[in-house]
Amino acid sequence: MIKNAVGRYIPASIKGYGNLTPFAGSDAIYPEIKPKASGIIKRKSKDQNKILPTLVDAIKATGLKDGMTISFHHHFRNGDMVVNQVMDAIASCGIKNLTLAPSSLTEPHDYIAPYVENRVVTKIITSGLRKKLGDLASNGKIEYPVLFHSHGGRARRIEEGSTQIDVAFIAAPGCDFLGNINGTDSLTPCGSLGYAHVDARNAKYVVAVTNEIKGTPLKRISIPHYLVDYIVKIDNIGDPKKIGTGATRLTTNPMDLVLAKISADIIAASPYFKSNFSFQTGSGGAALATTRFLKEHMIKRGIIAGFATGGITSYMVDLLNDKLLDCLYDVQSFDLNSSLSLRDNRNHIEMDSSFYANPLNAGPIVNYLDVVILSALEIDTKFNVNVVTGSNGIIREASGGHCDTAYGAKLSIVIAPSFRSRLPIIVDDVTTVVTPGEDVDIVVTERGIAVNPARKDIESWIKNAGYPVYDINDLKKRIENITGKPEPIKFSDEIVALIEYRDGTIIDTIRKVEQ
Amino acid sequence: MDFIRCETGSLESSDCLVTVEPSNNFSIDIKSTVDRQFYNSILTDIKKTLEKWCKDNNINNPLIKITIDDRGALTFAIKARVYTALNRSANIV
Repeated sequence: MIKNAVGRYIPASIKGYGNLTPFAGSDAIYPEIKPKASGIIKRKSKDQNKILPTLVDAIKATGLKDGMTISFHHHFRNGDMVVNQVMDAIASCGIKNLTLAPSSLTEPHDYIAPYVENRVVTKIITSGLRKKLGDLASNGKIEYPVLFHSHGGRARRIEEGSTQIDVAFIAAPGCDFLGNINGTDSLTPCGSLGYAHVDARNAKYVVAVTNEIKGTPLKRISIPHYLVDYIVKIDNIGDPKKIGTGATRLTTNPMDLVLAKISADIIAASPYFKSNFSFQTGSGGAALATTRFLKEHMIKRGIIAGFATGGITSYMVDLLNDKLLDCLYDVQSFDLNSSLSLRDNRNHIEMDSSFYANPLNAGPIVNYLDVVILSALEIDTKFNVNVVTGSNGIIREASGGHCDTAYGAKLSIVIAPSFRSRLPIIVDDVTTVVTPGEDVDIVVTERGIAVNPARKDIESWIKNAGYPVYDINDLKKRIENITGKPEPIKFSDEIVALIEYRDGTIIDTIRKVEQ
Repeated sequence: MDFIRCETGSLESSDCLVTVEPSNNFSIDIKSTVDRQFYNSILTDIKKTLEKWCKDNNINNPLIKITIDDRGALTFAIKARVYTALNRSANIV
C-alpha cells in the first residue's frame, strides 16, 4: 500500500487491472509519448449489408466472445432501453465474462443485476453506478473491482488503449440507411451523442441500435457511417421524457433554489464575471439552477457570456435564445429542450468527450472554463469531494466531469445542502475522494460558505457580495451542532472499486461495507 | 394507566413515524435510514424522552412497545414525535 497525494492508501496492484499508479496531484502526470489506439481495419466494405434483423444477428456478426469488452453511452440517462435489450441478447447467446465499459449506468440498469450475478458481466468500468448495481459492487458481488473514471478520463482511456472496446452498441435516435447517426433527428431524441464518439472512433466493431432507419441521408451527422459496421432496428431505444429526471432534474426544491441563488451571487461578485466569461454547471438540482439566477445578474450588468459547456440544460438554452450567451458546447443534453436546440441552433455545438475533458489531448475545453458550479455528496475539511459513495459507504452516484472541470476552471464552486436526512455534508474525511481538494476553491452551503485557504484572493469579494465566510472546520462544527456527530461507517479491507483520477492514477479505493 | 395503539409523524425525509402500543414487555424498536451513523443517538433520544414523559405524568414502568421508523429526523423532531405519541397513546391531551 502506498499513501497517495490525498492521503489514501493505494495497493501496488489489483486483480483485473495490474499495477496501479497512486495519485500524485492534479497536475503531476505527464504522458509518455505513444501511439493512439484507433480500432481495426477489418474488410472491404463494398456490398456489405449493414442492416441486420436482430441484435443477436449483430452480436454474431461482430464475433463477440467470452472475455471481450462492450460499451454503451448513457445519453438517455434514466430513459435508456438499449443496454437491457442488448444484454438480454448477449446472455441468450451464452456469452460470459464480459467487461462492461459504458460512459455511465443509470437507474433502469437495475435490470441487468442478474447478469452480473451469473457472470455474464464480471467487470464494470464506468463513470457511475446506481441502485442495485451500486449495492452489488459495494458488497463485493462483482468478480473484479469496479473502476470509476471521469468523463475526460474515459476519453483518455479509450484513446490510449487502456479500455479496448471490442463492440460498441450505440443507441442511435437518428440513423439513416448508410449508418450515419445523430441524437437529434428522431421522434425520440437524446440530443448530443458526445460520449459515443470516442467509442465509434476506437471500437473494433460498432453497432447502431435505432428505432427507425431513415431512407434518406441525415443532414446533421454526429457519427459518420464509415465508422458503423451494423445497424439493427428495435421497437424502443429510449424515453426522452426520462432524461431530465434524477440528477438532471429542473428543481423546484426551495433548498436547491437558495443554494443556486447564493452561487450565482458569488459568481457575479467574482472578477471572472465579465463579458465573454465561460461557465459550466454540473448535474444536481441546485448546480443546474444556478444558471437561472446568473441570468438576472447578466441582464442587470449587461454581461454576455462567451460559452457554456457540459451537460446542457433548458436554462442555458434560454441564455442562448436571449442572446446572453454566444455558444454552447454540448457533450450531453440534459433535457428535451436542449436536444431540440442542438438540432436547430448552429451556435449549439455537439462536442465529444475528448473535446470536453480528455487531460492528455492538445487542450480540452474544460481548460478554458472560467467558472464551474458542482454538486457534492460529501466535502471534507481538506476540500476533497465525494460524488460516488453515499454517506453510508454504498456506491450510488457518478464521477462524471467533476474532477475534469474542477481542475480546468479558474474558479470551482461546490454547492450542497449542509445536511441530507441528518447526515452532515462537511466531514473530516470524505468516504471516497473523487476530486482532490487542491482543485476546489469555494464550498457553498445554506448555513455558510468556506474558502480554500490556498485561494486567499477570494474571501474579500465574497464578503463584498454580503455573505459571511467561515473556516471550513467551524462550518463543519456549526452543522454538527444541528445533526449530531455521526458514528463512522465500518469498512472491511476488501477493495470493491477503484477511483481513477482523470490522468489514470488512482485517487482512492472503495472498500466493502461491513454488515 | 391504559395505553392504546397510536402513531405520530410521517415517513417524509427528515421526519419519523413513531408508534406506541400496549405490550406485555417494554421494548424499543428502531428502524432508520441513518441507523449506521445514528442508532445510539436515536435510542438515547427515545429513552430520555420516555423518562421525562414518565416523570411529567407520574408513571412508572409503562408496558408499551415504542417503534420508530426514522427517515433522518433531527433530535428535536424525534423527541417531539415520541412525547406526542406517548401522550396520544395514554389519551393525555
